[in-house]
Amino acid sequence: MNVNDDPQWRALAQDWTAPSRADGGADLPSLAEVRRRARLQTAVFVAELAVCAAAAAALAWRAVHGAAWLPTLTGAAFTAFALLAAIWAWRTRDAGSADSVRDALRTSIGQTRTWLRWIAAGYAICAGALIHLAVMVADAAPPAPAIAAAAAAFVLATLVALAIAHRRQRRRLSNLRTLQADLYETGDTDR
Amino acid sequence: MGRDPDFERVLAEHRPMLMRIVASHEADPERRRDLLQDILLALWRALPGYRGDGELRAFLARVAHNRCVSHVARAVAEPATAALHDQLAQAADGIEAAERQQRQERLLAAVRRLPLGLRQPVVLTLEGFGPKDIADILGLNPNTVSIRLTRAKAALRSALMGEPSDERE
Repeated sequence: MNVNDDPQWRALAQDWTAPSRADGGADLPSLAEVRRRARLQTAVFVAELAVCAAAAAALAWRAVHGAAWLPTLTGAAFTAFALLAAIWAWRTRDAGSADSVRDALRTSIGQTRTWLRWIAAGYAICAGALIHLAVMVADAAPPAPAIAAAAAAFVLATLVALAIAHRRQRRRLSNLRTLQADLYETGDTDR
Repeated sequence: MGRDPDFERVLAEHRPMLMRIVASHEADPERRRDLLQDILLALWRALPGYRGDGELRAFLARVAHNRCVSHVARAVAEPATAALHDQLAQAADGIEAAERQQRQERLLAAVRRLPLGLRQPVVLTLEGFGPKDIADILGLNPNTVSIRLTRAKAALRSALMGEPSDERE
């Protein structure tokens, strides 16, 4: 059934596509805004890579200058994980080209599950960071107390942020599944 | 850059359709603008990959609907109903235009109240897509599209005539 075959749909379509006074072009973002948003995403990714590179360089310098192997190892593991997370986030930043709404939903659900796994890994990394910090504090040449306290506070703040993100992503997953059920309810013959 | 003039031309030609798809999924003006930006960014990235297989309108509608689904999922609840403007006070070209504007706003509000599974084929039908194109865009069986459109038409008729409907989110 095409809209032109049904007078009721045809009448609705005429109202739907009538020029709208509110549709004066003011709401359409400019191409410059679109490009700026794309550049911002790229800048965030590059900044994350730069931070990981700087952390890796600092660890390498410490290793070369005789730092204890355990803190260096845990620091390297933490940096590697952060780098992988940044690369993963960059690769999954846009699902707009999925071939169908069903695929887009599946992609969104998959990304949300990945975020939840990443958050779970984040909890483990925070625990590892606290262990790493404890190891450094117990080391023969511990960091200054203020630095250790700041690092611990940073890890605790990260744990809080992860907990908030965890709640948000669980809610999003629930919504996506509800949408999926709504769009593809049982009884419909879908492809 | 050769891509930008093409992108601008495509936007200019299909802007009304994109605006209506966005409006059917989001009532709040600020969030509508964010959603539109999301869609335009997705289109800007996806257009170079358009190989000419199928109508460009259908390709744009598919990307737009995909982003709208993600947006609705992020929004958690059903779209908030924004206050409608007083079109009668602003009519510049007579009573007929004001009445048409009012019918359009009522239709848009009724479409937004439909469950997402009915809303999407309705929006595409109103944009002039046929059942086969709608099935391709939404990844559905054409029979399913027909069934949903029948239910949606009944729900819209009830909503526009002020009768209670069974099709609510």
